[in-house]
Amino acid sequence: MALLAPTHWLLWESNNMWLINFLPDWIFYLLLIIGILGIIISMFLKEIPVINRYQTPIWLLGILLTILGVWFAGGISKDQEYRERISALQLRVAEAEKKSAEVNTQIEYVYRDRVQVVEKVRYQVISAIREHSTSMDANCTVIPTAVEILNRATQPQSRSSEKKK
Amino acid sequence: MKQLAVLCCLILSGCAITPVERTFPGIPPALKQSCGELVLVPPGTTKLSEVITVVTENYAQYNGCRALNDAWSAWYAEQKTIFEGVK
Repeated sequence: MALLAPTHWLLWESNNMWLINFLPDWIFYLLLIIGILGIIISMFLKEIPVINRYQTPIWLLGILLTILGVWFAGGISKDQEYRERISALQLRVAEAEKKSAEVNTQIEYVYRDRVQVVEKVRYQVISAIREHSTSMDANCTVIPTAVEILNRATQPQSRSSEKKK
Repeated sequence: MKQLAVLCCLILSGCAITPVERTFPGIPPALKQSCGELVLVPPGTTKLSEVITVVTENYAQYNGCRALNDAWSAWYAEQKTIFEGVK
């Protein structure tokens, strides 16, 4: 039901609320006051003989201005509410962006640390291999077929695509 | 009735719009790289030390790639939590 309230027509995209954004708020409140005053005055105009013929137009104008005033007052109120919600959301987005940047820094730090450990281990193992290479090579000879088979394992994609062909 | 349905949709869409821009979180520059190619054993080699050196290089490559993958997973999980936290 709330969605069908007339004020929502004015909230049709906050950027399109040109009338509320264009004119100052007090004009709409003034319309409302004039409208209410018009209705009240029209009630008393019946009693005054000379100007009582204006009673109906003033009453209708009062009704119209009251409706417009209430309409726009509702729009202003909703507009204000939306502005506050937008400000709060902007604040939360800014905080999230800051937190996101912090998380990025932390993840990058952890990643670089792990890569450093990997490099350190690699260096240590390769140094150990070089240290013991003479005895390794003397006790074991690798046949070319073993190398060819091992190298095949590095290219699983090309091998599987070859099979498909 | 159809017009009323369209009208309701328009009203709902109007209310759902929030003019707050959200940028897609960027990734740390270190995570932008891809995993390297595996190293091949030089053809014709008969030395075991050369073979296991290449194997070690490939193990290191895998471990680096695993670290990269873990970092991506952590990045996604963290950013998703942050993103969903803003409503």
